[in-house]
Amino acid sequence: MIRFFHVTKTYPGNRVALSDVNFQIQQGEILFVVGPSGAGKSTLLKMIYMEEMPTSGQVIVGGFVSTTIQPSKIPVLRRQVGVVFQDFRLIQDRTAFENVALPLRITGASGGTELKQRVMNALGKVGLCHRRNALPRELSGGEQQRVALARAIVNDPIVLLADEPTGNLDAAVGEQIVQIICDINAGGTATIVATHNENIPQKLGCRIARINEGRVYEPGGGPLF
Amino acid sequence: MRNFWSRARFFLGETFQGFVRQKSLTAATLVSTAASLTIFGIVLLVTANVQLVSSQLELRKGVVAFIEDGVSEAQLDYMRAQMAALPEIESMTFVSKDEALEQFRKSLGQDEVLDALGTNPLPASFEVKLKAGRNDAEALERVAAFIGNLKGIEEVSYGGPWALRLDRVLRSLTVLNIIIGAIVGLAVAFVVANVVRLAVLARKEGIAIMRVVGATSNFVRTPFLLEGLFHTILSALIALGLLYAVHRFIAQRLPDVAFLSPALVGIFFLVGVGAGLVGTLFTLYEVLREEWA
Repeated sequence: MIRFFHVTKTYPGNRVALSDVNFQIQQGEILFVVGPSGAGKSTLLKMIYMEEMPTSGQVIVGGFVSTTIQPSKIPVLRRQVGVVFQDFRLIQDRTAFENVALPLRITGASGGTELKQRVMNALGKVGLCHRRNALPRELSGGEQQRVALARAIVNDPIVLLADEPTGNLDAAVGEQIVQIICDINAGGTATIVATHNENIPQKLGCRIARINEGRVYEPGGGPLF
Repeated sequence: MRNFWSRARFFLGETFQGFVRQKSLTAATLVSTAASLTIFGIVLLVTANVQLVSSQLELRKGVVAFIEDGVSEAQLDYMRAQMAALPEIESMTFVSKDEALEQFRKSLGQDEVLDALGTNPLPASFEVKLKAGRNDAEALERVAAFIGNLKGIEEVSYGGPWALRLDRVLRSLTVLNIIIGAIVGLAVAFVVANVVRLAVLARKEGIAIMRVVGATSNFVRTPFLLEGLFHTILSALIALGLLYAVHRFIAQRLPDVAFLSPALVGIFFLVGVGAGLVGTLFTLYEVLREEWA
């Protein structure tokens, strides 16, 4: 499903964001990538939807390979990857419905009734059907993140990426969000959650990979493979 | 097909939102581009009417030789033979006194004036038409002088000097049209480019989100392309409306003033919409460079 082969990412000025990262995640798995700010969590996630490319090594997502993918195919990859961010990243002048509908409009795979059904289905999974006509500024932080989750899953992605999804939320709301993410994963979607909060995956008993200064480790051993 | 219309509605919705989001900027753009296009349209209108007058004169770009009364048939044949020998002449038509009277009666539209005269005061004439390409001012003068010297010719009439002057004016107006068209085109391109640039900058965040969820370059560009296009089409239509209003106003005093022909309306739209499209595409390339790749 997703494989990192000896991935290194170096930015100008010789700043190493990722160093020889090797790991893989299969369909239906959930992985928490835990590390402090600046450890390389976001960079790792960006490599999966290819907003960043490795300086060396290879990232494989589904059938897409970072070393051979054409720029015109990157949007195709991204339609199969759902992403949620710490700052929610909703379009402010669009309702919750329109935000969730955006990926469907982009693919053009559905329109009219089918589009409405799929959007309502996604909003239903996050418990926000009743807030479909609200603008982001009319929603709480937790509700905005739930809308972002609905948008991320509306296209039935092969993998869900969550970059510090609870970073801007209080503990109780954060737990709700994590629960929804786990429910989505239980439905078969491979999930990677980047967080600085180790308590969350420990409570859930989920697989953890630690990242620090660009190197990825799994507890109990050396670098992940 | 159904999904095509769904997408088309989405793009149109995005475009309309773009218009509404920047209401005052939209209005300012429409006013300035419509004003520029109206100026261009006025120059086109003037040129079109000068061209019309010139072409009507064109029909008369020949010589009318009025014949003295009492000239014999043999003399008429001699004149015909002399004129036929001139290489510039395409055709000549003899108009008898009676035919001249009939033509005049038709143009007058009434008989009372002519009946009151009692006699036919109009002379017979030769209407001599020059070949196309050989009917410049010098040729006209040469032919007119030759015919005027023939015995039995009373007077020769031709519009050469005026036609020549009009041709010069027409050429100048054409050059002026091109210059003004270019300036107006540049102005429209810059104004529309600026509007599109501001629209893109205002939507930078939304564009980034679209890219993350898998929007292609074309998907991102299309609403802005439509916005630029609609700006210029709307401006051109407003300008055309203003032009028509100006024409109606002038036509009340000068009924013979013609409006732009379909071909000129086409040119008018080509300049306006073409310039707007160029400005839009240039901006989209510059501002959305990574999406363009």
